[in-house]
Amino acid sequence: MLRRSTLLHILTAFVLLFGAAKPVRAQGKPAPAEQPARKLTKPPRLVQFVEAEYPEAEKGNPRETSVVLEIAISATGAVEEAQVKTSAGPNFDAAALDAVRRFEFEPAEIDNVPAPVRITYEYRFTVKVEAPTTAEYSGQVVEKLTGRPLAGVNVAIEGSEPVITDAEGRFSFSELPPGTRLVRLWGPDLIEVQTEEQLEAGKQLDVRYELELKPEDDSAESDDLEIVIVAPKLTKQAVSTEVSADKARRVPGTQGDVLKIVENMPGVSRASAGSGAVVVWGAAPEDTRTYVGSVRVPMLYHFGGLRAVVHPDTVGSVELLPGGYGAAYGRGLGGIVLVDTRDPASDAFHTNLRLDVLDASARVTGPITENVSFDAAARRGHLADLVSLSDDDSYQSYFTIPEYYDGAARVRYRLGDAEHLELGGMFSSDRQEREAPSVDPSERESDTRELRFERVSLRYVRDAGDGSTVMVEPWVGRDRSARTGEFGGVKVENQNKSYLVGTRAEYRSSVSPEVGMLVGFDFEFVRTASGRDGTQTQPPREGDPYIFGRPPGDQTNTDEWQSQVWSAAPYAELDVTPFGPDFHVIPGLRVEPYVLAAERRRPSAPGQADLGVYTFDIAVQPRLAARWAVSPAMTLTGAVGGYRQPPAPEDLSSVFGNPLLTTSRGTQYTAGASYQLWSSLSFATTAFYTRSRELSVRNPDPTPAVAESLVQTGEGRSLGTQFMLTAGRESEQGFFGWVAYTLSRSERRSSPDAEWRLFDFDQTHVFTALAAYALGGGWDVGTRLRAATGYPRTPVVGAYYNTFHNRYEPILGDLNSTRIPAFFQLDVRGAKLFEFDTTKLEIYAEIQNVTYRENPEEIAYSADYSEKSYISGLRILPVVGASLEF
Amino acid sequence: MKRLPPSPRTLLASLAGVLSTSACIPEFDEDASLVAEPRILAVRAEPAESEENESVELAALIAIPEGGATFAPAWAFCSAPKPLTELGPVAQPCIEDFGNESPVLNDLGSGASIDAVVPDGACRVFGPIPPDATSGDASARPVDPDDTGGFYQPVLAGISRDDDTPAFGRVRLSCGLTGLAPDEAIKYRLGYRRNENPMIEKLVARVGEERIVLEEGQSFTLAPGSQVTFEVSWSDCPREPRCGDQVCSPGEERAECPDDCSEPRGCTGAETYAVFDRDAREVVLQREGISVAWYSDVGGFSVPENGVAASDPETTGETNTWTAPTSERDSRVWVVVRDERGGVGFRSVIANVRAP
Repeated sequence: MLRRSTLLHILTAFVLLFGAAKPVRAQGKPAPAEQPARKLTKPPRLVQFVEAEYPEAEKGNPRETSVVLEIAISATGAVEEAQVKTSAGPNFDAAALDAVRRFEFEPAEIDNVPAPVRITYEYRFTVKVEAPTTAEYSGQVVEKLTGRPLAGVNVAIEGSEPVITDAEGRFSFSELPPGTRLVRLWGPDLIEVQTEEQLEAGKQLDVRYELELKPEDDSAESDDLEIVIVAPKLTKQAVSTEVSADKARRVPGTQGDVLKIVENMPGVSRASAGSGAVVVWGAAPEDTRTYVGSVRVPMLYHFGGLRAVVHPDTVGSVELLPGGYGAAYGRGLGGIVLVDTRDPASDAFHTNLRLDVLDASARVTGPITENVSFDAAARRGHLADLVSLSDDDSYQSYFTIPEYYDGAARVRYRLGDAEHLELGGMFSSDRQEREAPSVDPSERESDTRELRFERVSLRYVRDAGDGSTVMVEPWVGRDRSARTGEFGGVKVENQNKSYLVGTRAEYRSSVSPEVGMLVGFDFEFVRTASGRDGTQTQPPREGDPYIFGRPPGDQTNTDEWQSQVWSAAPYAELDVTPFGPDFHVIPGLRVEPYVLAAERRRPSAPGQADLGVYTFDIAVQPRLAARWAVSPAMTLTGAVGGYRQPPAPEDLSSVFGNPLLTTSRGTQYTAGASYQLWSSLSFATTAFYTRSRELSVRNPDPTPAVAESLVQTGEGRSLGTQFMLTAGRESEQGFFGWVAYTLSRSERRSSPDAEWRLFDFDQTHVFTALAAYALGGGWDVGTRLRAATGYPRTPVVGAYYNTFHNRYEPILGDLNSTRIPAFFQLDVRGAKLFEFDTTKLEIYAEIQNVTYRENPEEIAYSADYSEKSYISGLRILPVVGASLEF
Repeated sequence: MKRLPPSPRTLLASLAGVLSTSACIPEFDEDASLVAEPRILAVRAEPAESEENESVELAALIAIPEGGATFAPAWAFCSAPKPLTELGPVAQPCIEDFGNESPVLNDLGSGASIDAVVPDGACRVFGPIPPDATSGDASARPVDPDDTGGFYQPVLAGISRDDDTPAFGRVRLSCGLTGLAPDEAIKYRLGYRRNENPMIEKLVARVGEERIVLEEGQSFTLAPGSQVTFEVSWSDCPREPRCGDQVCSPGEERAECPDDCSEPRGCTGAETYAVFDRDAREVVLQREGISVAWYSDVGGFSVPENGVAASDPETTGETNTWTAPTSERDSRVWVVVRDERGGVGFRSVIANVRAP
């Protein structure tokens, strides 16, 4: 803030009259007779004030002070003499004398005649803040993925000479004219990047530029940096929470698994223990899509929710779009989880080894040739092996320890300075098994679940140099899931094997300074072979009243079927700034034709040919978002859009589902605001409303039609608001944390005529507060507090005895009209990092639920339903581990 | 003596124990075999499998603890089809309306046993014949069978007409199977035999060295706090068809085995019957498993229920140990045997607990 002191002139009212007239001498004459006293008939009036310069020597410590002077004013009004009577120091004295000697007065009058007078004058020096007329501008340039400061980058802003970032990547400008200014960043042999900043007079703008770097040219002798231009995110999502991998790893409860941070983001409901489900804004878990790059994967977390399916050391960042997202994504009524992977290292080989209570993993990345680099990681869980050492496996009735492993590998070929081709693959395997043998046939239970998937992709990226980018990523994959079990003598078997082919192609560019553009094509084909044997109610669907331990019905059927889902979605978005750079309007359109094919229109019958069925649907999905930077600190956002979701292949059975199911529809509305309270404290809030229709639900008709076990009459709605207070700057390794709170209500009904009832995953309140702090010396500590409303459940209001199966059956109250009690958990984490040259060893310990609270996870009933109690989750989960990087 | 440090395995096991005991499953103080108040333990239909419009005798095993009053239960057939959204065995309105006038209940009268007629159209409402569709001209979805290929008419029996929680039972329907290929349909017709209720051939109480064969209502004596081992057995049904064994087994026809099949007779044990294997899409022969449920009004059984799986055709009985109360009294014991196809047999005896 520039300050300029000015002098204020205060003429104090000390005017003393000293008869400055010469004395009159009489000659030998006798003393004259006493004459009448002279009278000041008019005081002197200052007509020409001269402002004194504030002494330079005093500007370093500006203060208010006064100099009292005696001024002799002649009969013509000129200052004949000035003397200091009360000093304020030689500097102020000299300045005041210099000024008053140039004063001009109307002369005083004595007896109506101009006459010389002397006055006492107080010259007061004050400090005044003038309205600023310039701005300050500073910031830091860092590498996007790692946050490493970038030194030696040229930064220029209109109206000023360029500067170069220092060792910390920092730069600064002062006394810049306010307004919108073009900022350029470049380096020798670099591609220049430009952006615009809004400067306000009297304010300091502090920014952070995160740039994606190209690998350093090993042959270069200098420290030249190559900055890969990533065209500014054309359509910054109206609602988005993005966290870097380094930050996410420090949060308690994640056990160093970066992607577990999603559970702590606003808008995400707390999943029940062992589920790993991601419930966003009242959407069912299967409605939220997860992408690794452009490749869709069937789940974010392994069974049990202990680990993500992507190795943490390969993750660059994770972004959650809970809703209201742009036209680039679809096929889901819930949110989107975007996982961005790190670039393979090209400077040298890097190895990460991890070992903890849950699993062991390794990752290696490095250069193969000058233009080729690779990244490979693998992990295997051993918690199941560990727990098997215990003789007590009673916990398996509720929380089955999963067995899992996963891996990924990528090879990148650099085609040019801003162009590369990357071949990648990943795989994941999960298995959960439990068995409860019993001499009582009705008590026997066994349950085995498996899910495996593989993906292979080829990604091409090119930055054209003018800020435009091209990305093309075709991929193929395979998913296999199976569930077999026996519950109370009823066997259940479900299998699905899917082959997937997908492609995403995108081009983004600036049409003009006011218009940015994104066009793309999103294609996906899924062919699934499914088999199912068992009851209608296993697996359960949303809306089925859930009673823990209740055996399924004994009426069974079987079916095998194949299905195909084709969808090809061209999409486009514009980023328009019709009223200046502060206001963005982002219209988008996604037009998605669907072809749904099911093998059989009706259940297979001997002597009847199987007739397949094809359903064609075109989903026109307009999207609109707006973003208005009301001030440098405050931004308003809003979005509205139409969304579609195809039916699950498992629902296209003519026996258990409905081959004629089409896409479900939804509309999402969001409105939000974010405010930068200080440079390291920000606040954001978003209100949301979602409405969905044509959801697949069980047919409530007591005599349903053939091949209509499911009907598409369900509806849903969610209303809520989320708040997030984030502290800690991106550039600092010290403290960071956030407080997130979501208030919402989610409802469903089976048809437009039915009553609304709570959604199975409704959670009215979800509160998360987390903090991590680097103490120094390699020590890092963190804590996380979570509180959430319990999930709805259907109460048991009575029971009747089933003599056929020799067990009691519950009589149920209104669907989802009661709740599991609220959840509360406090986690702590501590870590110590040891650094030895190029080697880093981190040892960490984490305790989940450090207060040992018995959080109810499920309602349990006695055999006759006369008594009720709660199954509590893991009372405590200590995890110790180590990570070695070299 | 210096204590050795725990081995790695011990440490790991300790940690595993911490984890494994962390998820707390509550235990309820309950005994499924204890009869604390008058209740219906079983419902038997004779014959065990009936066609539409066929007469059937329904009998209830009513357990009355000592001092309790006997009663004559009210009976009703449920006529409401069960929607797919109903996770229980019967349409909820039938349970809720029991004891009151209701369009979904067919009143059958009251009594420990009654005679009833299987409703006309039961195979359409509860069986494989597609019911009348309610949605336009689309054909309706037939009911799914259970793993034995069975369809059932729901029946409710309550202690009093005003009782809100009746006992639920089933009458197995002889509806045949639809949707089979012609050759499989023939195999099924030739191979399927109606269910026969299992019968307790012998119930023995072993008190010390003494073996006491107990008939219906018979009593025996044992000391307070002592244990008795009950042995229940049932008929050893033929595992292969054999003319002259007095059982019309699958594969036997009247022409070849007139003694066995002139009046088709089943076996009162674990029968062999034909069932359509949906995976293999062919008719196969399957043997019943038998479950045994044990009840008493005082004392306690080792297990409330056990039985013999279908994979164990050689075993034709089961045992259980009952611990007598520590005070002198007359204790009632009920034993119920059930086969997989809904057949029921039961016997009740009295244990006189007396100090020697």
